[in-house]
Amino acid sequence: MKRRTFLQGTSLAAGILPFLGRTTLAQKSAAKTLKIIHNGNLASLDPIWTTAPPTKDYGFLVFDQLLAVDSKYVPHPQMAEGWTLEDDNRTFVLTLREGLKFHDNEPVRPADCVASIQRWGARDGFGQLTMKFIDGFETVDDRKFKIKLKKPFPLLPAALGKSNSSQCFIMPERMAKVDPMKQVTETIGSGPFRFLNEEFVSGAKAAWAKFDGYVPRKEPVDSIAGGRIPAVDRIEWSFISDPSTAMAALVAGEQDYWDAPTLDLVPVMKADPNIVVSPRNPTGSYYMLQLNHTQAPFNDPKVRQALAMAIDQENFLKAAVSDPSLIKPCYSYYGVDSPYFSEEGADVLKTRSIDKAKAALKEAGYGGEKVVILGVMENPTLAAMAQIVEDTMRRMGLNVELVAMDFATMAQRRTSKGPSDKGGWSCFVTVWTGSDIVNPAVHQMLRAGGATAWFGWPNDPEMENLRGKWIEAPTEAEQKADAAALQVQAFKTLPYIPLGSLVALVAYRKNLTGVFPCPVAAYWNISKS
Amino acid sequence: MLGYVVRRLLMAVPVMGVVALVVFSLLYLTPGDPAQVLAGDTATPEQIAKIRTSLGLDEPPYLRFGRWLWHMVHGDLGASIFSGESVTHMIGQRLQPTFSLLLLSVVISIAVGVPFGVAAAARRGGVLDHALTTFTTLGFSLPAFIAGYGLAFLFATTLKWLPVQGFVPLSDGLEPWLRNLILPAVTLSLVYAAIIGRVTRASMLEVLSEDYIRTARAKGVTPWRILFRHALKNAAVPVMTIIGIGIATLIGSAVITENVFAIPGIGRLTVDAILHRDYPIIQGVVLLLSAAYVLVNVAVDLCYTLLDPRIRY
Repeated sequence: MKRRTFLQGTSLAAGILPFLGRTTLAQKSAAKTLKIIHNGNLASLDPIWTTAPPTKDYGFLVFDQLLAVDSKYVPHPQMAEGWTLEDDNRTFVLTLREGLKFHDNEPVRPADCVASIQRWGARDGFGQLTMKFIDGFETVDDRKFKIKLKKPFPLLPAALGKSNSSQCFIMPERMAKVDPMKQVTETIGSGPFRFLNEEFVSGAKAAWAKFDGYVPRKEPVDSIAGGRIPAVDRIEWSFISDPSTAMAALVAGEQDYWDAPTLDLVPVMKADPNIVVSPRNPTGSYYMLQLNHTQAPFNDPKVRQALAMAIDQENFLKAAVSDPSLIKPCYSYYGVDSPYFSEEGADVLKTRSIDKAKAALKEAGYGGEKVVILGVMENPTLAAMAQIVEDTMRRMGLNVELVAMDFATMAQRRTSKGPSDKGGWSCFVTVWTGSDIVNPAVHQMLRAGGATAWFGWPNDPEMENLRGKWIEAPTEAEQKADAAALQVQAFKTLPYIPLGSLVALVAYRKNLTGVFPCPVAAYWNISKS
Repeated sequence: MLGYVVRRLLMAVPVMGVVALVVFSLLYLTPGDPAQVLAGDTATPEQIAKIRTSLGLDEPPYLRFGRWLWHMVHGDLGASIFSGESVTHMIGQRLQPTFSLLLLSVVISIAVGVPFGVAAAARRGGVLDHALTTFTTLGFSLPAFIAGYGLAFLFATTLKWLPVQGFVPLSDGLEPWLRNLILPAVTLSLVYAAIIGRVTRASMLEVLSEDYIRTARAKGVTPWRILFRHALKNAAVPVMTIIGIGIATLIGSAVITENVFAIPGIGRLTVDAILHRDYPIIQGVVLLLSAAYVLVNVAVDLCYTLLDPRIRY
């Protein structure tokens, strides 16, 4: 080969090579495309198999629910036309609305619903509790089926219509029959938007098209209840991990909506007349200090009490956000929008005194055992709070070490029940949404069954007993009393220490209409002018 | 020549085997449990254990490595732990953005660096020479993420000439493809063009002091012809070497640039996979990049023979 030929060849190759990549489908330029910057990476497409937030958000677009809770967590029919109770409240009869179809145009049948409830019941905590009450299912006709109960279970509608993960989404029977420990491979639901599998690039881009066969309810939207109207032709998610780039894309009009703007960039966006920054999720984010109850020093309830006395929620929240309007201290084990919210028993958390905490720690006989804090540094809020935990503990006289790590490392280390100086841990800061702590059934962190409880493994039979009472309480008043008693007991045992809540914001361009308050990232009813 | 190419490619096989083993060992030693991340916060230990078993993560490491190697030899890089998608498919989806970015960066770097280096050498101590020194200092010292933000702020947010982020495939048209790639490619080119400029200048200065150049000048050959026909072709071998080495650097820098400009390429795939401990993707990407590095080096070696007829293998 001559040099000239080589040079000509390379020039030609330079021109042609970009064409050799996979042909990606053209970006649709439909007038009504809602472009969303999504914070998380949509990796799995099975909302029962994983509780990852992006998969939950995907689930709400693609699938529908039999029932759905409103902004006061009261369940309403969604796919269901309604329900009745028979046989002394031991049979729950549910009738589907007319005209419900899956995205492959097959009708939604009771068999799909039964199989979906069973799959959900095998994975979700509230689902597992529900299945303990279910004796069997009976199909009456093409639209009606019965859920036979072993004994009355007043929480069944709340379970089927819950908004936190995992939701009881209805899938075609063939999908719902897939082993709950394995992912479904199809993306067929009966929700307002069809998933466009051919355009999906995991970690980069996902797209949906309006499902023309979807029949929304007539009632106005109220949280996840009411009419889920697909108001745009197409939805596109872009996963932009860099907050500055995400903000610039929103400001430049390349994107329409940002589901989780970084709080330090909020003032810049608020200054832009074309951008709306609002607290869409009314439940907010709740921060918690999870303690390891199996290892010293937090295996001693007196040490936990001493630590709670030192905690000043405002210090923690201010470390994360400078805007005081976003800071919401919460002296309760339930979220402020929960029907069970109260400050009963929370006196220990209102002490806010390092001196009193020091004295209580001395009285507890603390022997200088090392406290290892697992600090997740990839999340700025969790990182800031972990540092405040370290400072607070140091000031009250604990022997502390803050170990910085990423989430995946923390997720593995927190499974260790070994001593803190041998690969174990003492505490970490975590965050849940208000929907996750709305009642004792969904509140994972309020379980105190020892080995069966969440990481930290608190063991308090009285708490478990009170939770059992709440589950079976026949009236709302009794449920409230039991939930309050559970909280009072929790403040004695301290399964974890509440650190308060922050208002969760979204940012979007002013030409969007119909953005409604919702505890999940719901994109129905949102239109674009 | 063909024998040399085959020998080089065969030599790459054990190298990549070692790379595969090292990557697997590093991943095995790195803390983090994909089953835990995957199961979510509400999963019970029993559910996490079941997921671990279903993914084969509870098997001994030698068995996992052996199985992966066996599949890999048969062209199967496995499936993502999280999405269940084939790793080959996922890498395939990300190749075009990364390849486009690297290609345009290489073109810009050579188009800027080589003429700049030649001009600086031709006017040693002059304005252009000082300009090259300033440019290379800036190129070396400015981190890609700062340069990227600066360019995006100026050309995308303020002047609105170019988009802030994203990638448009070439099948959608040359103009949108270019518009989306210019800023990231320029960002990525800064260091690379600086290196090429410096090496070109140094190599040209050495060649320009040779006797045959003086002879050419004495014969009345035009300065332009001396520079580009006589000097540059003899100065090109070290430049070609640095272009080859630089491509490996570019691949590393592409991770940051793709993140800043939200380009769905191999770099972002790798970072996401590392954060989630998605082992099959990490192994697949590292293997691919090692192969690319080996191939680039073989290609550079072959280019030597075309640039300098004295070099034979």
